[in-house]
Amino acid sequence: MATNPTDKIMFEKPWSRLLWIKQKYPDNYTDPHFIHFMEKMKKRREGPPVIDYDFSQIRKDILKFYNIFLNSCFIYISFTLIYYYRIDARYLAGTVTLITMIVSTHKDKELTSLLNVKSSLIIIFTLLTLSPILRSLSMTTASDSIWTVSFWINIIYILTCATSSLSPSPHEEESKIQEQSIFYDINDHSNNKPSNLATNLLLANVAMLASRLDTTTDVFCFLLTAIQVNIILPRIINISHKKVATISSMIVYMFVGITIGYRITMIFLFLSVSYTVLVPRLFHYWQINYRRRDYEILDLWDPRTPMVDCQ
Amino acid sequence: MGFNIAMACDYFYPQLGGIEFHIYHLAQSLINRGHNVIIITHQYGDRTGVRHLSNGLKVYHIPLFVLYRETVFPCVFYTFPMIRNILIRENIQIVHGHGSASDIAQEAILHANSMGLRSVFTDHSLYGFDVLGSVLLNKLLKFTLASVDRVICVSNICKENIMYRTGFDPSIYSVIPNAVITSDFTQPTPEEQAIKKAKGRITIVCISRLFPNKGCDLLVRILPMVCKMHDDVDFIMVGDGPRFIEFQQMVEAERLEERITLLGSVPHEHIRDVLCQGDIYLHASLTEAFGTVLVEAASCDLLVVTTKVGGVPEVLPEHMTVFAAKCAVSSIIEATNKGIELIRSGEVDTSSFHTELSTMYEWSDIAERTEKVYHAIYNSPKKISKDWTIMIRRLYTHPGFWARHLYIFCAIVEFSLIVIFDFLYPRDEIDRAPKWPTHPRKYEDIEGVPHEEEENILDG
Repeated sequence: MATNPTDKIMFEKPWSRLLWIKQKYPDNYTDPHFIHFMEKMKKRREGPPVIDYDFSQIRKDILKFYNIFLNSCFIYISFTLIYYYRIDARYLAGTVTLITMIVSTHKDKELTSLLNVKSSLIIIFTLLTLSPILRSLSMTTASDSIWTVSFWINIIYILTCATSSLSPSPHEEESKIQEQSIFYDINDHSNNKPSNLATNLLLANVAMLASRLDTTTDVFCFLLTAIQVNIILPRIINISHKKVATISSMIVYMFVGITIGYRITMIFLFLSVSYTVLVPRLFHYWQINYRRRDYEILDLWDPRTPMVDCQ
Repeated sequence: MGFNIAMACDYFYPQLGGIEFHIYHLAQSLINRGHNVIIITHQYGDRTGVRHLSNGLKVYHIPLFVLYRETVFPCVFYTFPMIRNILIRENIQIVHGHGSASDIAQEAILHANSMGLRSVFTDHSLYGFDVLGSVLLNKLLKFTLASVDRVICVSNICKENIMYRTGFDPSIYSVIPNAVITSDFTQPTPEEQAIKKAKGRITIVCISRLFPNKGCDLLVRILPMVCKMHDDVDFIMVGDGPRFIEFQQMVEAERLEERITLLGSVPHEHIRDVLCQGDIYLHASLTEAFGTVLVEAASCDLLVVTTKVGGVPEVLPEHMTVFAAKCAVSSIIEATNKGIELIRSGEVDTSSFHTELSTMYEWSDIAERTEKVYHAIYNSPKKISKDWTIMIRRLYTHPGFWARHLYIFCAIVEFSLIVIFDFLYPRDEIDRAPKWPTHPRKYEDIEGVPHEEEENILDG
């Protein structure tokens, strides 16, 4: 960096950072402190990375997308079973409810706090009231349009659901304990709750798919299944846990394998493996080699965040 | 003998705002100092072609597609034929671009450098590094400004910001602030003062475009709370924007119709009349490169209560301002209370503000300092070379691999275009425009708001 030509000249008064006084310094005088700061930052940019990026955290975050994707696959699995394979929806809903009950009773005393009788009844009656309306809804829309819209809503759902729970929990130790156990502590609502937007997107998706079903019973059972698998179970079970993820993967791959064929499954498997293995590596590589190291300046000149500290 | 200067910017009259006034007044002052100034901007509605403003200030409104908030669609080479024609026709020596977000400014500087002309760039705002828009803008700046001769910034913080964003030799950056025509922002007349006294109340004025970055979320909470704390305090809000409805709702919900007056947008020439009804000016902006409105308010003898952001601490002397420690509702209320106390007790004498400010910020002084920058371009021992090979070598120093090669590719296209244009439309065949006779005059003779004198369609 070139030295400022005015540095050599000695002025009586020190330069001050004010615009309203007329100073003897030329207009292109630069504060030596700032030049020093720029040089420091330049060294930082050229030096080794300052932050020790945690690879396991990146992998966890990337896997979160994958696990939510697997979880959302269950919507389509149950829909296909009812809509295409014509299985009795009552058995499906019954089985899922039974699983939910068993899983919930694993934490028997806390069951009441989450699934108390009152709210269960409200949910069930709302579903019963809505089912015939949902069935007749969007009758005139072509099925192909419904599939397309459902696909996009699902993608937005995965993104919002995963990003809303990406930020690390403030209580690090607690979150570590949580990660290791299959079951969440129901009383702790800090980490396992997706945003309202994500839940609404999920319900919109399910309601739209339900409009394709034949009978009101099918619609009701499908909604019940989807709500249990995608909203209630992920709040009781840690879907990022190894065992849960493995079982989910096995069900999804088996279903895809049996219904669509093994070639597609292999491609699907290849893509998933490369996503879960390569993407975290690439991202970690980018962080180490290309991420800005002078992170202090990132928001130095940004608009300040307003603090609403009294109502 | 003055320079032939072209000011290039997307934002100009008939749109009104900080940059627009800056360009207009700087151009007028430079004309008064014996220079010849033209302005290049895009068309505004049916305002296209060549127009003349007061004092022979010629404005070229180029027909371009406006993409977003009066900024044209960025397309590096598209404006080249038009800008080249204008620069040759007007015998331009220095191209002076204004505003990082202005595409015309950046393209004009790029083309001027390629044509071997001198270039100056003035930045008026602050940009960060972690928003996609800013990242792209900074990359573009590094390309277009690679061979710029001088950079002018409106405040020290603005200078540090652009120094970091571009990273050239520190000696090419100058700080020259905005100015205010203090004769347009005079003290309240004795009659106005009498009306104010008769009311016996303290009036706080807020002038701001109602956008989130201007601190609307804070203001909308501060106003009712201050009203509750003091029975003798009223507010006048000037400005329009997406958050206007929130202020309307707040006034209705809190039943403050008699205490808070929402004026909406007020023409710039009437701002003084609004300011003169107040005692305190409240500013809650979250970012500010300079803050001309603070100077305007203080010039009307108002005590300024403001957040300490960006260039704000540099602008006014300490006895004219009360700073809020943080951009928080509680801090700003605390500062406002302090301001109210100062006014009530008569501890602060605001009647001298106008006289003090009239010598601090003058356009004639700003023009003189800008002129010095122009002269420095020619007299500096470290003259920026406009040789094509050297300019390409300069671009090659960029550390990013992809950016570097893209820059060089664009530069080669740019230089090839010059060769093609010189062949297809030779310089000798472009008519030279007659110059408006200029001779140095006193600035006080001819200042005022822009008004149109005559309109011409592109002559020749």
